[in-house]
Amino acid sequence: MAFDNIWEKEEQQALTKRLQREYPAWQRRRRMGRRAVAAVAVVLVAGISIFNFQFSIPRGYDSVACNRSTFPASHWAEEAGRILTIQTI
Amino acid sequence: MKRFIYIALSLMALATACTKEAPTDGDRLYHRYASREDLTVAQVRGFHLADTVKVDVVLLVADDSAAWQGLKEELDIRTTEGVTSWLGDIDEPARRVKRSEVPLWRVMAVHDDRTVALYRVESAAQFDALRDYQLDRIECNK
Repeated sequence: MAFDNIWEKEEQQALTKRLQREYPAWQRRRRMGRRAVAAVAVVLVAGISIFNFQFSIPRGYDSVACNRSTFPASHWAEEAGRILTIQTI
Repeated sequence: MKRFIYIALSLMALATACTKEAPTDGDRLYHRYASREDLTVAQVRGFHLADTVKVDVVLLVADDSAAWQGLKEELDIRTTEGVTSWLGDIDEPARRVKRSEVPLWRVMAVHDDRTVALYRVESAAQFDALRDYQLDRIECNK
């Protein structure tokens, strides 16, 4: 019985020592993991916000394609409107 | 795990293939002229005429007078100045059609700019919005 008690005590002490040694590292890893998750969340939210903001700007058109890169897309949308305003004869 | 990844990738490829949009009339017209070296071709998708009304627009700009002459012959434009306007067939814009033959192109050829603008119209709302847009802007410019 006494032998069992000693053995348990030694095991308890070993476990305590191991915890004292490993717990800070484990805690650090956990903290870093949390920070990483938070950073990813922030980047995601920012990305989605920028994406939504860009597509919520009233541009007057959905998209533009051109076989040459002479003018920006907005130029062709302006042209589409301008030509409509030219009076027909 | 590998099998799961393969299945997921296959499903993603299948979903992408299924959601691929069919080419519109504007796409077809754009690609018909896009390879021409004497033309600048632009396509404006969903040009906003009013709050809820949009049209697809294809613009053909001739780079020089020879290209403009060629484009005029292709589209059977016989005038030499000002603006010429007609309703053109959706597959062959040079062919003049009636308003009832929707969808169609509302074509405007501007001689001074050597430009042809084609507005795809298929509903009464788009016809009305095109007319109102034109009238509003002309009134504003007076």
